Amino acid sequence: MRHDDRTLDNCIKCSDCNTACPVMKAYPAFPGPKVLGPDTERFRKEGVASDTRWVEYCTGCHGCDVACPHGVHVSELIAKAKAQHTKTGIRAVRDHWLARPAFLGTLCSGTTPFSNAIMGLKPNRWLMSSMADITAERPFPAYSSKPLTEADGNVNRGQKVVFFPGCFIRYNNPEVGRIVVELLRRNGFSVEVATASCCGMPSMANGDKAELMRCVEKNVKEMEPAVARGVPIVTACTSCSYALKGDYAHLPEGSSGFAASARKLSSNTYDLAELLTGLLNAGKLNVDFRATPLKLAYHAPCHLKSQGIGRPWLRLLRAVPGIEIEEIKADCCGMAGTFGFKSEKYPISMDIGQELFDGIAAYKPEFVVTECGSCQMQIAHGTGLKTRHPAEILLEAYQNGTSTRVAV
Amino acid sequence: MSANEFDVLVIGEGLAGVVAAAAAVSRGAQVTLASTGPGRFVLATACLDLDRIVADGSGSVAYTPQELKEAVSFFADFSGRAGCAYEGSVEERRMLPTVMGTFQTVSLAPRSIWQGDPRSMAKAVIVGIEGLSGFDADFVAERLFFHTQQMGLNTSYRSVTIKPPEDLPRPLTTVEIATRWDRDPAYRAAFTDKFRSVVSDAELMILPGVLGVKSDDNDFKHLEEKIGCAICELPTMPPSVPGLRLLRHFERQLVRIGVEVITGFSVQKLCIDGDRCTGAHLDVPGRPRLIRADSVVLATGRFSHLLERQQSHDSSPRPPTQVDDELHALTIAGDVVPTNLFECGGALGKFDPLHGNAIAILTGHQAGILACETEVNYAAR
Repeated sequence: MRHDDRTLDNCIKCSDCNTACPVMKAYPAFPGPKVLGPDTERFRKEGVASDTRWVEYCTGCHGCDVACPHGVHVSELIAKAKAQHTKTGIRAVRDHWLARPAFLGTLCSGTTPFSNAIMGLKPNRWLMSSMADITAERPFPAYSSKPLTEADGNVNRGQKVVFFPGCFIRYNNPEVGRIVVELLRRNGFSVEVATASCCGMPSMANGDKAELMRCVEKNVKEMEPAVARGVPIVTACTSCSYALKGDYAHLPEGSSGFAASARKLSSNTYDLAELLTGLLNAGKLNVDFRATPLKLAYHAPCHLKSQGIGRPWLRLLRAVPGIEIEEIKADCCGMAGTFGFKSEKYPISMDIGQELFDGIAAYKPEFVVTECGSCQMQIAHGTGLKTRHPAEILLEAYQNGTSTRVAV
Repeated sequence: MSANEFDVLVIGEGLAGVVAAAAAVSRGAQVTLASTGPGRFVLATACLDLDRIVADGSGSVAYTPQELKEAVSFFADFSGRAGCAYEGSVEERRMLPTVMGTFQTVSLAPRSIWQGDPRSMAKAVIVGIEGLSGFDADFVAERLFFHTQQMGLNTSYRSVTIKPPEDLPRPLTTVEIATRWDRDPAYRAAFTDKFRSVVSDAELMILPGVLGVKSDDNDFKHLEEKIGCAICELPTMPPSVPGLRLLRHFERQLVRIGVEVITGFSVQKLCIDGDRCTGAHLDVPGRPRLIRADSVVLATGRFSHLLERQQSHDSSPRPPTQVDDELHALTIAGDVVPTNLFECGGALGKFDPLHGNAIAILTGHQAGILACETEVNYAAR
């Protein structure tokens, strides 16, 4: 994809991006992607001062990029503006920490169960809401005392892959990580777990360019040897896979060896379901499934939609006898990572998600599946239904599929 | 390969691409539709003017009146199933009002637009919305009255401007109102009450296109029952709400009949192998995605056309693509390269760019069918 300055000139002001923006629908005062992206970028490029406060309200869902008929990377222009926008007061401090999920994960996972207990205390949440503008309306995800580590890999004689778990799976839901490793093993892969750093998506969303570039550097360096040998990098979180595929390809500028390595990592990254669907198409997927009668609602995360790989989990889960699964057609769920935790953005976040919550309620599923950890939190909060990662369902559908600790 | 299992790739999601995809499905193909963006729908008036294509001929496109009739009736049927039925026919000519206060000749239009002909009623009310940019009820009423007088008609046009039920930031756009209309039942109800209170003895209410992107034919029927008269929406400046509505309903109908719709990614290159086009590469993050196909339909429009016919850096418009009688794309030298590559819609021949809808439907329908026939013949060979 082209990421040079010229794509800005492709904008003909058709407003297609505005019609796709979930924030504009929920919050009419928001100027929208056309103004914040290509319109204001022209001023920014000339060094003309412009009001940047609104850029904080962009969720980074990529809806505008997908809608644009002329290849303008609208959300990237807004992300650039976010990086130039200076925050003040408690929101600056808050966003500094929200941009560092790997640090928070290490800290909180190392101090469970105290960290979880403190995060769950009402007085503490009230304090955080009044002192740090973090909403007390929604629960924090619990941290696991056993985060995913290199030791959770499964190195065998199969085809080598590197699993990049991302922060949510690594610190909050490591059991899903172990399920992913087992799914890959059952399909003939030898799995190494990469744990260098956060993918950088949260720092990008919070306008922290320096932290973002630190993430890019650590990850590219850690995975470089594997990528050089042509080993696929696999993720099970669509925001991580978008960051690695879409953002790493152009973030290190210029033609340095590092930029080339980053691009190589991009072209070597696969979403888990994308990889497994490839096996399904080639008739090589392990399909030793048992009848699994379940009625499931599926939500396609925004960062899956912007990868252009279709809905691979729908295909995989439909390959299991007994599973009835439908995609609930709706916009963004509204969570957008750390966006939904911020007090001033919480009502907008819930308003954006309403269409999805209503669609799920009308379908009446047993529970909801989606591969994005942040979408899972929002859907559980908005519907009261259980949400699960589709990899969990697929592994359970295998004969003897409930245990992740099957001997090799 | 059996005749029922072949893949057709349609590139472009404008009217031609939508019709081509639906036509290919009707002939038994498994269809993928790939597009960079929403075609011209956002610019659409949604009205079909068949006079131009009939009067001018259609440049490089050869067709018989029967083919036009079949294509139009296929399209009308598809739109009905999609929930926004086109009314009218190839023979019909109605005069429908525009947002500039003029009349255009229309053969087919969606229900929400179709009832605006001044010859079928005596009293109309034009409803403006306070704070809405790009629509002036007084201006429209004055101009429409002037034009009907010129035509010797006695239709009266009254204008009234109402306050929107919820205070939104100004200036308002039609999309903002449509979004509220879709999301909030109380907003719809409040607007409906306001409409009812200004209609009085009018037989027709003319208003800017704001009545929701999700609304379908049933919603319009119910709305007309509630306010007690017929409705005529006027498509406004882009993005046009009636156009967005068509796109949404058409896209959902395509998905219902089994088309895989991939939007948001441009086609990087076509894969040409000898005299066959075997698929296309989509420009997605990471690495290109290959979509294989047995035949390919190009419905890319003139504006962002895929095939560069000349190496030119001046600003002169690209020459139209030439095709043979079977819609095969031709090179500058006039040769067919891939025998399973078909062109339709806006990129073709000489036609009035403002009235390309009829060409899109005619050639989209033909290309969708030809894409299947060529494959059946090829498989048989």
